[in-house]
Amino acid sequence: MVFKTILDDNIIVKSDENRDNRYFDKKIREINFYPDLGTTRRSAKDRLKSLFQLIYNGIKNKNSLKFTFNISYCNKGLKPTKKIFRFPSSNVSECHKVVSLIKIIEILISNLEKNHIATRRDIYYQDVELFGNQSIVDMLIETLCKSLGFSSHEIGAIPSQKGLFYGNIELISWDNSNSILVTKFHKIKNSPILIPRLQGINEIKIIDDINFILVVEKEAVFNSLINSKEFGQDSNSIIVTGKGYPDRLTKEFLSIISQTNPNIPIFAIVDFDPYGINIFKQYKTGGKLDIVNGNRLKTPSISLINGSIMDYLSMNIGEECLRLNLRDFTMAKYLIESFEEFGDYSNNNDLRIISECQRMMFLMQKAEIDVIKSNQPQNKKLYQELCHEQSNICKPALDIVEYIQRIISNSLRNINENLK
Amino acid sequence: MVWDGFLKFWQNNINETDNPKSYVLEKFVDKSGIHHLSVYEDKIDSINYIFIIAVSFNGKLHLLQIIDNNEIKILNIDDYGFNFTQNGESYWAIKFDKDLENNQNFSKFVTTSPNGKIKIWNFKILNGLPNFEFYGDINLGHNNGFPTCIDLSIVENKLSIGDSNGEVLIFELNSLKPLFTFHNNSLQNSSNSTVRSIKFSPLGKILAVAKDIGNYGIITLYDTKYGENIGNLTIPSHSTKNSNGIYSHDGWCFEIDFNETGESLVSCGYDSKVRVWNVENRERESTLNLSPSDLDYEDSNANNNDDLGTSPAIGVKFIKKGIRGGAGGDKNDGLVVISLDKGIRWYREAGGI
Repeated sequence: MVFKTILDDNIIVKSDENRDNRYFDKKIREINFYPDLGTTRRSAKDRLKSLFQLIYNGIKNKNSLKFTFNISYCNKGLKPTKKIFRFPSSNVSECHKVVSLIKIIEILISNLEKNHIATRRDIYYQDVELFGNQSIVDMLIETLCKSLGFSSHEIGAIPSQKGLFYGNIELISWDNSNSILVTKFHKIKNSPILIPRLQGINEIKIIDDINFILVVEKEAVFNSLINSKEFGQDSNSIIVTGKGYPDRLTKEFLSIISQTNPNIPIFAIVDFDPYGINIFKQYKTGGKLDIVNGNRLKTPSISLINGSIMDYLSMNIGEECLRLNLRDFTMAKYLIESFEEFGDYSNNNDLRIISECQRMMFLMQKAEIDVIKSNQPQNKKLYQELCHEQSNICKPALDIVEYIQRIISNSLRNINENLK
Repeated sequence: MVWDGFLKFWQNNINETDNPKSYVLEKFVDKSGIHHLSVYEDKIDSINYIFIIAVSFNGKLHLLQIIDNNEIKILNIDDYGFNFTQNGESYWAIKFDKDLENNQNFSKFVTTSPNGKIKIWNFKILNGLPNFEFYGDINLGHNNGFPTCIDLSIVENKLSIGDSNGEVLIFELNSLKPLFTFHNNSLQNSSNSTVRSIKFSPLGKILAVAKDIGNYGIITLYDTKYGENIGNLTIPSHSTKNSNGIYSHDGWCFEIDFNETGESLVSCGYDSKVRVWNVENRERESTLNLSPSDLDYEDSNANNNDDLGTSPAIGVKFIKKGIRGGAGGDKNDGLVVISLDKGIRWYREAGGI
């Protein structure tokens, strides 16, 4: 396969794994990507420009290029990693990455010069033929951000918003010790709010008096909750979902909200599978934190309040359990191995997570939390009858709401008991 | 010494032996928890050797030796003939089998890995030290499942593997040649037919398989010579709830075990029941019901986090005649049951048969 792209100055960057390497000479030009940590922190535009110049000269002089990305994390236990791409290369995907990278750097520079901030989706549409899919653009921009130490806002390529929340909040930024109200968000009946961009936001104030913040893994569960009476418009809670694996913004949102409101408990409810627990881990630790954005992504105070899978089985809906597949199994094993990254062996609550993984591995079963709604057919029927009277309300899943309400009230009671 | 009967696995990091708690030996093995365990016991020149291999949840093997019935020593398994931890290999089920027939002190040790690899080692005790010699491997690949349990019968020269997709495979042990495959033949619930336990009878003529059919557990007996299905061990049921019609446990059946003579088979299930079956006429001989109230929790810690209200039984083994003390201990079989309510229960056969 040949990958090529035409840059603005009519240079054609072309890479082909079968191409004769003689076109490029043996001289290797090293291009290093590392964060500026000293006092002279150059802007993203300048950094990218100088890198681009290096690449440009290299290609013009027919040198071989070696791209090295130095990524270090601020999480304990994560070693700094290096990513290396070579050009030319005999590896198809490496060819693809290098050519895409050069194109992306060029797009970013031209955006930054116009002071234009694009979403990653926009960047993908600039050269669909070359990129092929969105994920390579996301991956390369993420690598660039992490290795150069810029936030995605600084580099001018932000991800699309993904996470949702439901609650009344105010975004506040600080300006020389003055708090400035930036935006206000209010609940509107049955409609989730996209998590806003948090560039420059220092505080998220919760307007009304709330009892807890609830994070759910799935959008379906989220929708059931916000359409319900218990968690809907008049409830005193904030509900957040990252729709599966949370993106940066969702993690950041939760992290800021927890730092601003340290007294409000944050609960998480995920599926009864290893991936659910991994999602919880993402919220808690912030995932692989890069060195620049530090603590703005993790929420250490979040607690998992799912019942155990055993609990779930005892509700007698085991017919709808799924068999653990190899990937789940490996994930469970990985979670147990990496437990120290997000849990504490001396904390009973944390230990429940590890025993949960062990149980899933041993029982070889997993379950999705949505299944609860199809439980208890008589309830469901009753509810359908009720629904007919107010026909145009979309049907919330009654039982899952009940279930979540039950475990939340349990958890709140436990917290109160501990306080006493 | 009652190791062979008592200790099947620990879910926690502590291992417990013997009936009264005053006899408990503890050894910390791995903080990720232990799930499988196999014991090798031999007597050479009137010295007892007991080796244990435990598998922890992070996939590592741990070799332990018991010296003089009271001291547990952790040995580094890689020092004894094979590099077990190479390439970050991860293990799940393991099994020792002792070569009794010609007593050449040449036994086998087998392992399964989640990636579908079965490995076989020769095991012997050389100058008082364990010695592993790699014998061969079988690669099952990813056939929409992974091996969950393994058993071997040196007497019959057979190796059997149960898979999470419901298949049971029998191989010839010496040549590692596949002999029979018992497919998962239940049409519905095909996604939920994990094989949970397989056991050869002591003489290796019969293979008992415990697997899921949906939410139920069923035990099937196979003839190992001709690869024929002999029949199921089932309880009479008039329930319309269960579309499969027949089952052995109203819940997954986690482990089965033959007694020393192969006449009886014991099974335990998620329904908190332990059943003893007569292998000859395939009838249920007795059922034991487990309940959390059987247990007296000595430390309040044991019962702190999740009170289940039930006692799903996840492990069961026969204790040979003559090991258990007390009345009738010499003549009667005993049972030990492990359950998810963190209890270990010991039972003995009543009467003086």
